[in-house]
Order: sequence, then structure tokens, then C-alpha cells
Amino acid sequence: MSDTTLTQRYVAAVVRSVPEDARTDVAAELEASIHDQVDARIDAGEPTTDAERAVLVELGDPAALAASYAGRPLTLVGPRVYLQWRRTLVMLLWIVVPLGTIGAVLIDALTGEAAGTIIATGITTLMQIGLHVAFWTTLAFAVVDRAGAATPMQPWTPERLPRLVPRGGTAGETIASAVTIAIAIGALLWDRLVGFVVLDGEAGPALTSSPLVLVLLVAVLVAQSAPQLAASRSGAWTRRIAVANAIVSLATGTLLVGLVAAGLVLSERLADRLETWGVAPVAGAIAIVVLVVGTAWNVVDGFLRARKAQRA
Amino acid sequence: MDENVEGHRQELRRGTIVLASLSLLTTPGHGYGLLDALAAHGFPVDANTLYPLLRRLEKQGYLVSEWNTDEARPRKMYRTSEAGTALVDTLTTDFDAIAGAIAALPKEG
Repeated sequence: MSDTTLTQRYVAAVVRSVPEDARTDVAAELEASIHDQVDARIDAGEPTTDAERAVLVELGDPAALAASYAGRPLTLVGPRVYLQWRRTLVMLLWIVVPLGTIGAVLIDALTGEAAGTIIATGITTLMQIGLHVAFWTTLAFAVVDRAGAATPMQPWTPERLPRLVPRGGTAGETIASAVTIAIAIGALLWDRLVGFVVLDGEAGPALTSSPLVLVLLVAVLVAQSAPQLAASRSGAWTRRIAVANAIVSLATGTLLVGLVAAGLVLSERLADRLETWGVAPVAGAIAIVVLVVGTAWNVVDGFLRARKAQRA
Repeated sequence: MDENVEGHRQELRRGTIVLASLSLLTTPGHGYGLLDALAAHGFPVDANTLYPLLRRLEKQGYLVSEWNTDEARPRKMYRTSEAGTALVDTLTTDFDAIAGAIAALPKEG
């Protein structure tokens, strides 16, 4: 019977993605139902081929029907996990893309690539990281949605509402620390490409050319601004953030003192000149004192802010 | 505009298909027969909605089924189970309550 081929193809297309144990049952039932519907149309006077076509068109896309049989969602990321997916994706994009891009650009700049290459690296890294973050996050959530975690992963509570008026004006301070980082990175690049120290009428870098040390310096800057960022997210400095701030400050302060003491921070040219002038030990001592005092102040400042926020 | 109206009407009718199907299937029937019967009783429904729904109700235990091979074309016959009859009672009670509540709503004018 040639007029059954369309129906047979349709049924095969539906049961292909129906769970295996139900396949023959669904196939037989669906085929009988389609024949019933076709017969009804033929009895009403429709030509056979038209009737079959019309019935299949009415049943619609076999993939949709199969999903309905299997109880599968017709969405990639359903409403159950959508909000969680969006929050995670936005947060990851804001954190990972800038950090990765800055890192790639820095490494290029520090290894002395041309400006054009650096810009190209920046753009391609930006797009690639963005693409990866979006793809893998979405894939993970699609899998979670299909695997059917019974409840939303993080039930929403009123405590998660954002504060309307940030206590302690942390928003402005967050922007300030972001700008500080940007300026510092700009200064690093300028120092590397043009040079801050003019000796004998010639400009040269003040800092070492070692990429590792320079990346460490940037990492220190970013790490030190993290507590401020956390304070801004939660709306105020808290004791926990102050403790975290103390740990970060002490760790990065120790690292900086170590780098200065080992003579790894300055460029050879500047270090040599300081040596010639006979001020090298004094300069080193001053730098270390400044770092120690700065670190101590940072630690104290965090606790002061936390206390002030608690009183407010 | 018309699309919105149609959407709201479909939304309103959606739950009643289960109630009507379970009611009608106290006399055993197969997919297409039920499709016809539903339409005749004023519950028009698409085949691609009804067929998966029947399997779902069977899986949930509100319908039982057996294959009827007496005729030339074997058909899967569904029949409302005891749990299905209980569900019909519950849903009917709820529907009556809703109908009463709607009737009791203040009318304009």
C-alpha cells in the first residue's frame, strides 16, 4: 500500500525519540489512530492522499509530538533554572572576561609585542572567553534542567533583595578601586612601552621587565580590591569581609615586601643608578616601611569600616 | 487582540479535557474515538494534545489499557480506573465550586 508510506515515515520519526520500552506500543497506537483519522476524512469525501497529508499536518512536527509523549521540555534552559542560569552567566561574564582579557593583553605587552598585535589579542581573547563562558554555562544548566534537579538550586529569600541605599557609600569606593586598578595597569603598560624614568635624557622603564613579577603586581592590586567589591555586593563592610581583607592584605603585603627585599621590582637600569648614588639601601628600607605601614593601615581600615557600617 | 482572547479561552479549557476524557472513558474507548466523542460533547481538542495526554494519565494510574485485536485494525483501548473515577469526582466538585464562585461574582450594572 503506497499510501501508507507517509504515515509509516511519520510514526518512525516520532518513536525514534520516545523511550525504548514504550516504542512499539506508541508506534502501533499512533499508526492506528492516524489510520482512523484518515478513514474519517476519506468517508467525508476527501481524496486519500490529501486526507493523509492533512492528518499528518494537523499532528505537527514529529519531534514535538515525541517530546510530548516522553514528557520532555521543548526548551534548552527551562523556567525552573532560567533565573539561576542568567545570574550565573552575568556574574561569570563580568568576572572572567575582563580578567582573562587583561591577563592576555598584559602578557602580550610585557613580552614586547607590537601595539597592533596587543589590540588584536585583546579583541580575540575577549570574544573567545565570552563565547566559552556563555557556551559552557548554558550547557551545564541545560544538563541540570534535563537531569531534573527537583528544587531550584538556590531558593530565593527576601534577604537576597539588593539594598536601595548602600551603607557607607561603597558604590563610589568600588568604582574608585576599579579606576585605580585601570590606572595602575595603564601605568604599567606605559612604563613598559615608553618608560617613566628619564636618565641621561633617555626614558626607560622603572620596573623590572620580568613578566612574572609584573603579573604578580597586577594580581596583588586586583586581590586587594576584592574585599571592597565584596562589601559593595553585600551592601556594607562586615566583620567577615574585614577578616578576609586582613588576610588578603597581609598575604599581598608580605609578597610585596619579599619582592622589594629580593630586589626584583625595579628595572636594572634604575637599580644600578640608585646604587651609584648610594641611596639603594635607604630607598629599599623606605619602600619596606611604607609597605608595612600601608598593609597595617589596610587591615585596621577594614575593621573600622565594618564597625562603622554596623553602627549605621 | 483575537489571539489574546483565544489564548485565554484555551487556558480556561485546558484542565477540563482531563475531566471530560476520564468521564467519557468509563465506557472503554480508543484514541481517535475519544477525540471524536470529546468534540461531539463540546470539548474540541487537538490529536497531538490528546494522544500524549492519554498515555500520561495511564502512567499516573487514572486510565488502564488493553489491546483490542478483535477487529482488522488492532486498537489500544483505554478505560478509567478506580483512581480515575475518584479524580473525576474531585475535579467535578472543584469545577462546580469554581462555577458557583464565578456566578457569585458581582456583576456590572
